[in-house]
Amino acid sequence: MAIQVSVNNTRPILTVLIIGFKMPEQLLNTVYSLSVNYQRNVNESDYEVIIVENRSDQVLAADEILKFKGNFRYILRDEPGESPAAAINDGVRVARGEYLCLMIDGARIASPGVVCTIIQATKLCAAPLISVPSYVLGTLAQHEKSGVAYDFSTDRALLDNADWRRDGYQLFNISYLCESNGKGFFFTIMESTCLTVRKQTFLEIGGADERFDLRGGGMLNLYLYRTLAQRPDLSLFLLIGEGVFHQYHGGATSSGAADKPEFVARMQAQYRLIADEMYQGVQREPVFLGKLHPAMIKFLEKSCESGAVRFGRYERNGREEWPHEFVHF
Amino acid sequence: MNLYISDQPMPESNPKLSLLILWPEALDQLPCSLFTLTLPYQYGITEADYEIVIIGGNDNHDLDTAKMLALPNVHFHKIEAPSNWLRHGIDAGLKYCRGDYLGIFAGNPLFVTPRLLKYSLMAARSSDRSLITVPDYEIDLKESCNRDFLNSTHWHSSGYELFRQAKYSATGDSGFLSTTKGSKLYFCRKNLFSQSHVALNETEEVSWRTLSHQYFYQIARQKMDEFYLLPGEGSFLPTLTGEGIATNTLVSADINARPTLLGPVGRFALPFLQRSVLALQESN
Repeated sequence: MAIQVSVNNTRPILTVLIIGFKMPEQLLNTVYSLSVNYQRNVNESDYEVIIVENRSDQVLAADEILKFKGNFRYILRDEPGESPAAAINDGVRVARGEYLCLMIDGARIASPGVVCTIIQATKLCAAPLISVPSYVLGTLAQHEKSGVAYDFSTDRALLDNADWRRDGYQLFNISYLCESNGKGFFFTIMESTCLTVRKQTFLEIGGADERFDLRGGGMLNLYLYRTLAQRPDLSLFLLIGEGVFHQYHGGATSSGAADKPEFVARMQAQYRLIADEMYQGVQREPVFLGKLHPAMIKFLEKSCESGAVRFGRYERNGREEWPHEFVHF
Repeated sequence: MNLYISDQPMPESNPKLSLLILWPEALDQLPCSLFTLTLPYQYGITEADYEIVIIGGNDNHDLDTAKMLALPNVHFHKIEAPSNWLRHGIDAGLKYCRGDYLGIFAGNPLFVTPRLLKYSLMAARSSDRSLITVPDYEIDLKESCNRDFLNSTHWHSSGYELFRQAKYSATGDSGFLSTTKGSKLYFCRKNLFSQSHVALNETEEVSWRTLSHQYFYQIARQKMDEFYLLPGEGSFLPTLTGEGIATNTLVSADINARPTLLGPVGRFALPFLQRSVLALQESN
């Protein structure tokens, strides 16, 4: 099934591609956060949003999208496996934007300046690789404390109280930095859950490798980031004033399921098989870009604190903070 | 006013950025400032990306300066004016600068960090009406270690070490993320400088010490698409304590628009960002 909502004939600069599976309420929040109603300083002709959903017993009520202002396409597809890889490639095939913003996990609400700041970054250099920092709704303690039930109702209560639909920057007040980049902006970026690159560049690396066939794609997202971030021809931007905020949806690694350790081991084994190495982040210096909303300043403050410790350690050891080849010359 | 033009042929294509240096003294006193604006100290750009236009009142120079004056993107024009040299100098500079974007260095030997031009050029690409600023710092020459540092050539290969000797300038004492009161070094479209120059000519005396801030005040009143700040870069004014421009002598521009940060922040610049963040937190 494909629904096309108010598609403009002009080619947009950007396609935002969202993949969904069994997360209708969260996915709808994400789609709203990418609508023109919510995003600031952009209009419909600037970007399109493609939602590709793998069919399940809990699919998005696609008619709801009609209530939002924007340039949307919704594709519901049958997927025999558990991975979003083929859905990504289907979405890329129909993407019309010169740039592709991939949100592999459809449960991430964007802050209101994500789209305009991504578009701004595309104007700054010929070959950008643009990453938006990831946050998680709730507190780390809530998520880590065993025996404490954390589920979608907890998220829903947080979101309802935050009035995020009116001012999405309030999401910074109810979130913490995603653990994979938990030490902040002066450390190696380990992965990106909202990553933008030229569509052509994405095709050059072969798109989403469908050998990543585990639930949620396993380590596909990390593989894509590492493959792109290793390319010296791309300039890595980090949009420090914006964020994408993960909602609980019982996902492959975020649900605290009993089989998580075993599943993580399978993911790592698959990554090693495909990439022929253990996963490690790409140490490269990011170019910061963005405006700082007062609600996010605390994250920059903590990043500065931990960054100072890291840089001090490197200096004492006579090391540069970033490898020479990935400092922006 | 008499005008002498250097022999350097002007390249055919226009650069994106012009740096206008107004320097009435002997050019051999324009030392490291010019060095920090040329390649290879500046990196990530080419000579075709920008030009340096020096308007001087005296063409005496030493060998090191001569080498820089011979670079293909450096142009020297000498003017002699019995009075109002600065005003005539700006007139001449605006005439000879060919870039869309312009930055002015007037009388002060500012040192800058190595990727200042790269990220200024990057910001200039994003829109036709951007104001691009860089935080101001001062280096206190009363401190002998600072004098020794600047006299050495060690920092020539590692320009970010200038941060080690620096303190915030008088206009930036609450950090660079709070309200911007002024800036010694900024870039914007040349026509905005031209309009401001006309406005200043009509209304007030242009003085060396406050020239940058007077222009900044005029320019900041215009509507801009984007107000960029480069938090990892800096301009550094060597000064004896008390010589700097006191904030209370200036008409404050008070830009309340939230700046768009652009560029990486390395270990030497990080402490200043950290203090600016804390100051911003306190003011919130």
